[in-house]
Amino acid sequence: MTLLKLTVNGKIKELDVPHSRFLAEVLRYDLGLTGTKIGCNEAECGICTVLVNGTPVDSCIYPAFKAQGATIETIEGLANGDLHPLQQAFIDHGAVQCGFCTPGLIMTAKALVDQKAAANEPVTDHDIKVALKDTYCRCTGYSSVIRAIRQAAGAGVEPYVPDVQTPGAAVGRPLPNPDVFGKVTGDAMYTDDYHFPGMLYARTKRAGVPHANIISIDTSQAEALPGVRAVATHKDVPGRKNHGLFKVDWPALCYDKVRYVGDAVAVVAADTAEIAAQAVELIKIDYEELPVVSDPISARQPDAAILHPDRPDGNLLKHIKVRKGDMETGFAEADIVIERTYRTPTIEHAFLEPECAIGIPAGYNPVDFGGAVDANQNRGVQAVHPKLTVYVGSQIPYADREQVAACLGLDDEAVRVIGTLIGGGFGGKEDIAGQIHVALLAQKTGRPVKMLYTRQESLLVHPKRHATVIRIKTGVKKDGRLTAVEAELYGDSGAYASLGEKVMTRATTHASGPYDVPHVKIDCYAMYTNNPPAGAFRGFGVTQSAFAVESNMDIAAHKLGLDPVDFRRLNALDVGKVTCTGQELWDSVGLQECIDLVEQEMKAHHTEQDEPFRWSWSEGAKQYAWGIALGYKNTGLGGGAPDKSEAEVEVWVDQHQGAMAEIRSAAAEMGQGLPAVLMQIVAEGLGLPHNRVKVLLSDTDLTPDAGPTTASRQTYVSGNAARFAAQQVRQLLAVVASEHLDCAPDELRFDNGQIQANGHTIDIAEAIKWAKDEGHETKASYEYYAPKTQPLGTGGDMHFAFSFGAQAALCEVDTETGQVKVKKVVGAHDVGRAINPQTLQGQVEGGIVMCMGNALTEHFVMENGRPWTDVFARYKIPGIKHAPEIISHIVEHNTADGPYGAKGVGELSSIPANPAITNAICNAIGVRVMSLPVDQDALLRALKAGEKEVTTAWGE
Amino acid sequence: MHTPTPALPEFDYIKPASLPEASRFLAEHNGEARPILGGTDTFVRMRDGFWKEKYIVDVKGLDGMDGITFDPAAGLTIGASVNMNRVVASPEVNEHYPVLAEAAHTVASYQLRTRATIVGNICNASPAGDTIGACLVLGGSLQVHGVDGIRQEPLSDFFRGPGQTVLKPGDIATALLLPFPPHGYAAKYIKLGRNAIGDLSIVGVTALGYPDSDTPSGFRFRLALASVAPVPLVPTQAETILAENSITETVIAEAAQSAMDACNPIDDVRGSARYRRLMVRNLTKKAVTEVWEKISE
Repeated sequence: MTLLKLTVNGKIKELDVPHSRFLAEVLRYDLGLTGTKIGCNEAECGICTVLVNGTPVDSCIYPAFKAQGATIETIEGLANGDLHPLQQAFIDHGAVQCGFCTPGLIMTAKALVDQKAAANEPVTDHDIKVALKDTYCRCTGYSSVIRAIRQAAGAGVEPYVPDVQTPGAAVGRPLPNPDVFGKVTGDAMYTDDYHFPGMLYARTKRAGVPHANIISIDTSQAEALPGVRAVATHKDVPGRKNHGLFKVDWPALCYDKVRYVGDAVAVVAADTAEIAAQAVELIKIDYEELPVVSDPISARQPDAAILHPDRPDGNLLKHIKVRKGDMETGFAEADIVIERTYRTPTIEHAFLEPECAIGIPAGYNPVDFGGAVDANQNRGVQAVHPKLTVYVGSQIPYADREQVAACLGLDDEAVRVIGTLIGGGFGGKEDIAGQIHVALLAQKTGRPVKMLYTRQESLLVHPKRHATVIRIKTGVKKDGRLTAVEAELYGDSGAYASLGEKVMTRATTHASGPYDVPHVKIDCYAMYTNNPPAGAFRGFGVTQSAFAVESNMDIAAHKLGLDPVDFRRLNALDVGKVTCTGQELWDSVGLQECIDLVEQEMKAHHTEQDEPFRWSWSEGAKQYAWGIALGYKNTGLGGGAPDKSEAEVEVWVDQHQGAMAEIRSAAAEMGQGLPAVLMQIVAEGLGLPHNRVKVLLSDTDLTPDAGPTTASRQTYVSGNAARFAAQQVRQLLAVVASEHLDCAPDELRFDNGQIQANGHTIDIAEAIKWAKDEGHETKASYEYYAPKTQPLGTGGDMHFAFSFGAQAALCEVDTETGQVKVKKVVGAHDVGRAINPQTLQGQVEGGIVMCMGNALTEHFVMENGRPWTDVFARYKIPGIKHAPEIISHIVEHNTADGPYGAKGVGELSSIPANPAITNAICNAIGVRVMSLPVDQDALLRALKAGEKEVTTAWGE
Repeated sequence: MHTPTPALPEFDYIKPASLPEASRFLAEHNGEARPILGGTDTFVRMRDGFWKEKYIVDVKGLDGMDGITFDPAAGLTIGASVNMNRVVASPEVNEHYPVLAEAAHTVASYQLRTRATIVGNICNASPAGDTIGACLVLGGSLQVHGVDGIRQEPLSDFFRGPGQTVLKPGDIATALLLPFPPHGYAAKYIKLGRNAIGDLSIVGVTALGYPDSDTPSGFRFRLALASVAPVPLVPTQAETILAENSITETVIAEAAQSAMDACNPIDDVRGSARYRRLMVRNLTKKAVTEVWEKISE
């Protein structure tokens, strides 16, 4: 056996590893350098990039022995006492969100910057786009990445921070996320970065067929395979057989039938992943195959096969209705009526970190497996686990705990869920993936069990964005006033409920757009099909309905000869107007201002500066045009669901740093920037410098329940919980200090770590010591309930806040090929208040580029329940080359009950871009896209044939 | 430590010391050994379960395979081990064969191009191979080391089907040979992907033209089309049209139409056959026009 010799980050390593091992595997699993990430294992995403003898390579498919004798540089080797200029620039420019792709981006950029520096050449945007092509980032939208790299290369670029209202001491300032340091150095721990002595590896037996009755499951051969430690089927699930966030209809392990190809039928834990995979192959399942329900419309036909025979309404998951006014009156008042049918595809989240979960049995002690109790292997994680514990990058740790406990027949309190960092979520990590399986296998084997999905498994299994068919009928008067909207939506909710009902409810209640429409009737049918389940995805149904609404708006404007901006302005919601669900908006509706800003910017940036604005023009075979669209999105769960978050704030005195605070909340950070928001709110509330506030998230034993990280709600609800908890702590300190300083508590000023009153200035640390000396616990928990909402159909406030936005896109259409490019996007978004304008800008840029992918390239293609897009090479998300220039404004119409006036933003930016792009295409070539994503072939055909509408989407 | 997802089936990574040793090994282990250069495709295919080789024979860096040499008489030799980024940056390639650099630049990502090679791209024999068209129109051939010694295989007769070539067990392509290009020539590669996202090409068109007093038109054109047939396609009828008729916009359109008629593309999710054919016409027209404008100046 030849030894593998490498020089890694300046240190010589000699290893005895198999020939078939790849460099990424050696770095991560043999050398513990987990900063190098594996995103796809097929050399498509580029995030595993390391330097071999100075040149960047995709380490996931680089045979380790090919690097025999080579010098390897990884993210861990970059900081040399101080951060490398690239690492610092990524922080300064807000180019880090979930952080999972960050090491790959930085290493790829390092090769470029080094190469250019050696040649004494500057680094241009073009160089960056060439060098980082196919090094993916799903969060940032790339603009900040380009700025950061130019900065690191010495270009002197200022961070892009939009203008905001006068900031406080911490709130309203562009501060970096407290977890960002670990993300740029490779220290940050995602689930697969944890290792526990004695750990086993698990694989899942998937259904492989879209719809079938299970006749028998034979695991005997798998169990007999040496190295297999446990095989589990439904018979081994001791508690509840199903899981589910809202409806409990998804089998932990299938028992009577399978309903989609990714269904889990059995799981295996073995000494190695290879043995587990081999065992999975040996499991024999006899099926009686059933007819496949492949789309939501056929699902509703009387002869359709029924997925869940126990349900009363066949394949109907939910019929959702919106009624307002009277449709006959509405359409009678209209001078024109536009009726069209639109279709949107199933979309994959394509977060770059595949799902991973680790189960640790109750009473686990690493010493029993030759490990050490104080092993700091997992960077600070305790070694002994008294409780059954699951490590997972989850958007809803408490819901995971409930589901794990229920399926294992345990009390919630007997299970601990520790949320690790999340390498992107976007709604795709709300449901259970491997959590129950690893807990079950850990309990069965008495050992830690890790289950990491391959990219291909991730594509197959987790819930997607709903495909929809939306028929929408819009009535308008000659003067441009909307009179009525009638719509019918079909949503493909896939095999299990997941959050389908909620998603499609949001699609329904937003299907008349952010407009004042007197008469509305909307019906939505969320249907079960044999496709992968559909659930939460940034935009939560509104991305789909906005495409239909805003397309119809442009058709109406053209037909009436109205300017599309004026037409929208005339009808836009405002304070005092009533939504289609009967909610009167009483504050924080900045939509008119968003429209004004976008119109202004679009006209200022349209083409050559001195020419008057035109919606469209041509240059050779290329047609250019602008398109505009509006969007809005609720903040919070709404619909009468109690929307609660609890947070705990504690202060103490650190020997070296002085007064410190920690905010604890089980809200999840998946890159959206919540830690910074909570840190800033607590710093503001306590008058502490922001770097003295620590943030602890997502641990069901250490942090209180903040509810799900969904619906753009955490800044609002957990922000408020943090604000009020901090207020209580401050109140306690004020009362204590006021006695010492001989003044009334409300005369005290808390600022920059000090308390001032009566001409005295003391350090907050003093007050904390006094309080402790007097026997007070210097912490407070606050259970925040958002303003009460009403169920759909009852009128009243269905949501406690909405965010509003306008976007305009400049597109280029090549009339020889049908290709579409997005050149620029201008946007303005009313977010109530920007707690952190830089992380908020990141949400805006990332949301726009994600939405551009939805419009132009992304389609999770399925044929009769079987995905074609089963590898990353077939599912194309936008790369850096396609990142448009983004000009963005923040509008701050404070909402009364939001923390410092803030409402949600996470989803808003990924709503208007779709229709802004397709409206631009129509303005450019006169062809309207009715189905997404845009098919350049069909577009060209329609253009040449003189057709006005194209109904074929790419991938069909 | 173990890897959390299943590793590839075990294979032996063989690094032979010489070409004869490599050829011998490959011939002796026919069916279970595969030569690799960059290995960019091989390992993805193994990961996907398509290939299950027992021996991976790394021939990159063997004797004399690592250089780019140019000689005005003999032309250009690119060793099989030379990665695409080196080709993109090579002064010789950029001066005399810029279309090859252009084509190489469209291949995948920078990271993959640090390993991917032109010779590997050719030997993969993918109908979509980005650099194959340039090598074809430039009159390229491969130098091949086999069990019986060294020989040359012209690319015009090299491809047999998707992934299939005239190479035999034990054969190792060691270099790409490009003759000195025709005097006064120009060439263009146009790759069309889906909505400009760096995907595999839906179609690829390479056109090369040069003044030639022996033809009625006074010019000769060579064309190559990617992703429109089981093998990289040369539309000879279109070439003839451009040689025999005085070149006008109409004649170019006629040649483009002929190129389109020569294609036999498949219908798949990446593009319909109809669209591919249409794009062959539009892009051939575009590429030929661009080349003609340069060479007729």
